[in-house]
Amino acid sequence: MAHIPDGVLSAPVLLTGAAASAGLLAVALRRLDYDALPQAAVLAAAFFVSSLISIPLGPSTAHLLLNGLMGLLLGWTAVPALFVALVLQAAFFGYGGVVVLGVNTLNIALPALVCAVALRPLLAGAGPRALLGIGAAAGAGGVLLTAALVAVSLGLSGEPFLPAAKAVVLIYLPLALVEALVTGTVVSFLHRVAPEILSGSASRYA
Amino acid sequence: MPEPSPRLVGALRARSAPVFPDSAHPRRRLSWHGVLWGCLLPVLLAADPALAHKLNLFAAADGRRIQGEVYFSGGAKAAGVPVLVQNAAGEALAELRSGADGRFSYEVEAPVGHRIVAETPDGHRAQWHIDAAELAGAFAAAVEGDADTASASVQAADTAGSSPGPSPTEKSTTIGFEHALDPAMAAAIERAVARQVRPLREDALAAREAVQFRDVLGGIGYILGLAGLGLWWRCRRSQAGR
Repeated sequence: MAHIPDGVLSAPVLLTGAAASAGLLAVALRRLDYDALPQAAVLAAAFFVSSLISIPLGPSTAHLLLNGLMGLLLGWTAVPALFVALVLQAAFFGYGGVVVLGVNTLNIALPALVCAVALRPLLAGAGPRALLGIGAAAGAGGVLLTAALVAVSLGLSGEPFLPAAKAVVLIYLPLALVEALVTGTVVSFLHRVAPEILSGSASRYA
Repeated sequence: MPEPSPRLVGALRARSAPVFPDSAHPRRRLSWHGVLWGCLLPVLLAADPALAHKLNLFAAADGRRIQGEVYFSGGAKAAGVPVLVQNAAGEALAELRSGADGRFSYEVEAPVGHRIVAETPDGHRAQWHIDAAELAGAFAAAVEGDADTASASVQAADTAGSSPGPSPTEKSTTIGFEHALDPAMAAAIERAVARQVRPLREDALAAREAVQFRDVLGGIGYILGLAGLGLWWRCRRSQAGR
């Protein structure tokens, strides 16, 4: 699960996660793109609410993450957007916790950044079919990278790594398919309805 | 105020433009998306919208037995979850596994505080605490049951004879009355009350854990407010720079 609760992870993992998230946030705020703020707010709200719609998958339940989509559309601005949404989820819904906020932010925001760096340059001048593929790759990539990071955080905290990794992958693999479908659809929809959002993100890529 | 950014203007203009500016076969593409969403929607609809991504644990004493259940908030039962029973000092007493309906039960050995922790391998975790007082009834009944039955019945005769109405020594008479009860009956009453109250406690926990509509609205409000704050900050800075 993306929201690791308090009391599961060990202190070194928590500290490392907090430090890394703080660093990412500082960099992101320094290069904050104010033009993208309304978009970031809409996507943060979508991320915030989508955690309420859970799909029973295997032994657990999962929900859409949308971090691939956010990375693709927002780039570095996705980091503060995800951070704010995670703080609010912890405060209002009790998902995750205060102490693990750093690790959870890192686990979700880092894949978003990877999607931004790897896939955003491809957005410019891509055809509709290619856009569907890019969106799908961002959706699946975001989910699978988050799954890997969650498994690593659990493993480093002394949980038996293999069962944890197996459980996480078991849950996230079907979710990655659903997420790829959703993100691909959203991106190609944006291309038809408001293509300048995509070209704007591509030109803003830094 | 700075003039609206070219991107925003573009977005507004695009909304009034034809919906399919560059697709030669809008009808075909639309059906392709229809197929995608046709596959996806049943999955989303089949999911209970109240389900949430959090593990909950409820447990209560029933006589000398702790009975509890593990579920995801929203009500989906968590089957096969490892449940660890610890005493107050943190020593492990037993390792259980929840059944297919998410329930588990544990035979208590001593009337001490118990901590119950459920943790799935993928990092969900929930815990529950049971006070020693909640278990004391069943054990006290057993201890007194052997030795004190005779004296208790004598006391019962005394209190019945001496105080027919409310008196200044009411407190002492109620204590006497409690002692006067057959310990087995006291334990049975305690069990019965616990059983009656249990659904109420479960409901109270579920209501406390449930996500309310106002939580969702509140969160969205915060996000919009923060975005507004950011934009206002930018306005101020660009005005100052002018």
